[in-house]
Amino acid sequence: MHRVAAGDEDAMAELYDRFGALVFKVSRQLMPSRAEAEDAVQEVFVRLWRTADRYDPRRAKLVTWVMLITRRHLIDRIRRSSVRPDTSTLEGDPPRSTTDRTPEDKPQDAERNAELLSRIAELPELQKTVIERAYLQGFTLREISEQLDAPLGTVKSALSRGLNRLRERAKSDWAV
Amino acid sequence: MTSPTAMTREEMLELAALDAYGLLDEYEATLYSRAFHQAPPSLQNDLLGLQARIAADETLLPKEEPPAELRERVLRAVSAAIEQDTPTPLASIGRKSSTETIYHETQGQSDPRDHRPTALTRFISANFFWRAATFLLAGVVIAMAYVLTDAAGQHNRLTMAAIQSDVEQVEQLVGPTLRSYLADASTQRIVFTSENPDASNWATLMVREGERKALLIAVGLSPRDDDRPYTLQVRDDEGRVYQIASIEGRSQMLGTRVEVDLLAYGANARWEITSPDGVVMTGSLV
Repeated sequence: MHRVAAGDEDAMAELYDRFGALVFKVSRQLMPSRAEAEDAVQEVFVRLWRTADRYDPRRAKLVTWVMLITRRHLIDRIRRSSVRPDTSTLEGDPPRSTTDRTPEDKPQDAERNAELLSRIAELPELQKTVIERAYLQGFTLREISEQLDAPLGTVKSALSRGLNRLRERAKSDWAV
Repeated sequence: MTSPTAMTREEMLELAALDAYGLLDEYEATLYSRAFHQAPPSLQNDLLGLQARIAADETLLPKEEPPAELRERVLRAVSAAIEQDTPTPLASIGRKSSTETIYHETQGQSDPRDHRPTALTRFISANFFWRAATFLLAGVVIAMAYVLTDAAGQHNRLTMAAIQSDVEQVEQLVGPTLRSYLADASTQRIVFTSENPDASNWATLMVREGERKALLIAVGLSPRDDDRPYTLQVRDDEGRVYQIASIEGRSQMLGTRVEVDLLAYGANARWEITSPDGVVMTGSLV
């Protein structure tokens, strides 16, 4: 990462080769269109370069740090545009803007996240709601706590447990 | 809020997972970070391992792969950003940059998507970029000079160099990143004014949209006799106070980088710079 921070283009290429696909997949999950996902990937790698000198290998493994920067950037992008990815399953959704979304994006959204959404739908109500709002729509935990009138600790626990359950179920399905 | 000293192993694992997903706010992330560093090595290893497994886990992600040409576009965007951040002599402001050349070289390619610059490359490559920056910078320098001149009448410790500062001198005082904030159309500003009508304190916090890195420029935050620092803090809509950064007093104009998430505190948040004696300046988003 020292080389990335120093602007070494070969190091940047290596970073992309190692994590580009992963960054793209997360971007694709959270951005409303493929074009926006690709734009977001470019921005993420610029951000990785800008913050490379702050990477501390004692605090996080490289993949953790890359994905942390990626997710933070995508959440910022979602909040900035006020466009929350459509989960198509929520009842009583918080108000959200649909600007910048094209009609053809919606089926793509539903399709690309169909598997995830079906897994989320199987979760207990609170975990389902919190995951949709935090993980897919970019709301902060504090915002969700206020929206649901639930303690912040409850929201955190529900989110953590829900995400853990999703991962475990996905892994067990893959293993079958 | 979770206290770093009171965290159990289970709480740490819970926060580690949320941290890996980028779902902790700045305050919680800082608390987690502190707790992580205080944790025994075996727990640290567990946390690092858990976070890495979560980060690399693709089971919840779409199966789509990125297009092959995205690699080239990413590397071009990074090169352009690197070039943009390289200090540019004032004499070259307004010249056609090589960044722009890189963009135009793509015009002949067959994939129409390659012809569409991202917001980032479009902004970087525009020729008016540095021209606009020049005007902006000049305006800010004039404003700063005015404030400094006004302040100098009352605070002799402000240096004449700062009062007569030109762009480069201002940059020497507040850091080389000033230009990038001034030139970025998405930069948001929080302007602080003094609580004491007789004082000439002044500050502005510039935050680039989508980034948590901000630049605080302040005048009149002189070192205190007791050497204690000032504090940049924000009071959210519900009156909760979040300390953002500790600021060492400086007799000259000061520039310091701080981490801020503007969206975390609400549109009506009240920003404050405080000393141990109380509020020195208050600010709001303009």
